[in-house]
Amino acid sequence: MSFLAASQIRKKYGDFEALKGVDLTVEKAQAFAIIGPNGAGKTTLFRVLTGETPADGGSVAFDGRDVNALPAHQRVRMGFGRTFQVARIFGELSILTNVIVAVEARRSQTGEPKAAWWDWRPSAEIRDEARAILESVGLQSRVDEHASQLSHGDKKRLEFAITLAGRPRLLMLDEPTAGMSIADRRKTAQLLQKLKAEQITIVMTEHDMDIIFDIADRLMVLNYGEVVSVGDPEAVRQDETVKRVYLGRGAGHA
Amino acid sequence: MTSYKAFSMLVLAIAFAALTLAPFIVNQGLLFLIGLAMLQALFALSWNLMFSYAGLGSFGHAMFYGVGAYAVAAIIFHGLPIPFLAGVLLATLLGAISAFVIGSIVLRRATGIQLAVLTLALSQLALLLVSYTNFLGRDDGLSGLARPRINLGAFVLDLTSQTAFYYFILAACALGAAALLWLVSGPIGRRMLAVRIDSERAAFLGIDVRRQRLIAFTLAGAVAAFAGALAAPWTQIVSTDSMSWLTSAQPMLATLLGGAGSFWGPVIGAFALTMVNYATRTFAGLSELMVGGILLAVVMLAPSGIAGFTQSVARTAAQWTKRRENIQ
Repeated sequence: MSFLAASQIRKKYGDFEALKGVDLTVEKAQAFAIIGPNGAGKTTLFRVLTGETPADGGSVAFDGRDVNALPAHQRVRMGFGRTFQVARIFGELSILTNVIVAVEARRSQTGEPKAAWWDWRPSAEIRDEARAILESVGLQSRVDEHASQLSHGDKKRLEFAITLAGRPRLLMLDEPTAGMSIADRRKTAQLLQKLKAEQITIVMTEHDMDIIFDIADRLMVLNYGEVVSVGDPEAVRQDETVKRVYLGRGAGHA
Repeated sequence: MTSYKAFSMLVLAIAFAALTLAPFIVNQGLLFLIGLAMLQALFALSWNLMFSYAGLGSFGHAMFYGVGAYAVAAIIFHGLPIPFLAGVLLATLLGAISAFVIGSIVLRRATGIQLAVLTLALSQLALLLVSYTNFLGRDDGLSGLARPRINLGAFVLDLTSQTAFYYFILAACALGAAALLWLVSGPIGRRMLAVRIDSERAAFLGIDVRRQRLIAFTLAGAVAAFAGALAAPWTQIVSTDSMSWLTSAQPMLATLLGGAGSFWGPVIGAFALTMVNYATRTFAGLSELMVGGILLAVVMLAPSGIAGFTQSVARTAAQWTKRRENIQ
């Protein structure tokens, strides 16, 4: 049984069919990339897989369990983690508090030790964990700043930190390098390699083909809500239909 | 910012000292108004718990204030054999239960403007129900409520004395405010803030958004009922006014005036409103005009309220002194 399996996913917005029966299987510790032109249905597929939007048809199973009826927060408790195309963070809170909230949320769900009930401050253990996570994404020197003051790329890194605080087994990344500088892209690619080495399963959409061919074990091409091709990235690259609908234009960078 | 924190602590200490000394300084009439202002402040804090920490704008919060007020009033009026403190506890519990039931239904779908309209409609419905209930005095309400004597075994707390009751309210409100401050400073408060700032992001931390909102709504209902339960014997009368939309608007005005972004903002606002009402008491209609004008000024000039305004002034002052030090 695959780690993540979706079959015959259908989604309509009014008369528009965003997804016309999409099948997808992802194995454990695999990095799975979804590409396709704008409007192909990537984000919709993401939203169905994460539980934000209910599908009109089809089913999603995660780790051998049917998760169709589970809302997002329960999928997260099963091991989902997710970042958004435009990073979503808690702008009014400090960078450290952003991660502390995430660590506390996970601990309260897993029953790990928390601070004494009467103590309103996060325990030293929680603070240390939050700092360590921030260090792993390279934000350790700015922990007390307001998150809203971060640059676009740093916001994406903070969102990564928030997501990793949940210790996900499956990472769903919606364009992890969109709008980043080249240096930031490289750092993100390194971070993804590291997560892969830690046996974390990754499902991502991405426009940067260098990142995709660097990270992905399997590649799926989506067009008009249908799967055009799926398989080994090199094989997909050679696929005639894929070349026509997507890769052909602009030499690998859509 | 640490100097600002010290400044707030100082203001808080002075305010508390002033409230403690008030019975020796002001006359009985004014003392009555200050007691009422404290209860209004607690009521406003409970509204802001929903608003600033869970992102829920209820326009019918007075129904829970009314539940508390009517519960204690009915016990006193009908001479039910329930001691006063137990009655206050029961009223608070009733507030929590009714808020939990209403919240479970309303929060299923509605947030934002739908929530505002739904809560307003429900509070008007509650008011209508009360106005048809003989036990609750119909349209006339329950009046001539005797102030209680609390028998604590070793000694009797005689709240028929205005000063004693005043101190009782001061202690109760301080305790209520401290409990709320403790709550919002802790993990529950952080989780609620996350829900208010970005509920979808919060859900992807595994936070059950609806549950957090329901907790905030229920606690706010309980604290509002607690404030109402103490207000009933203090004013010695409860009418359907306590559930009206005007009563619901009081904590909103106080929060807007004082500043939603700061924990103490609603308290500042509630006292400011009381002061405006007192200063304009001899001119009919002037108080509404003043309150309206002041609110307009606040919204235009200091959108973060009095608390936010002083905060930014303190910050600017700190920057100025820093700059001067650098020059010298």
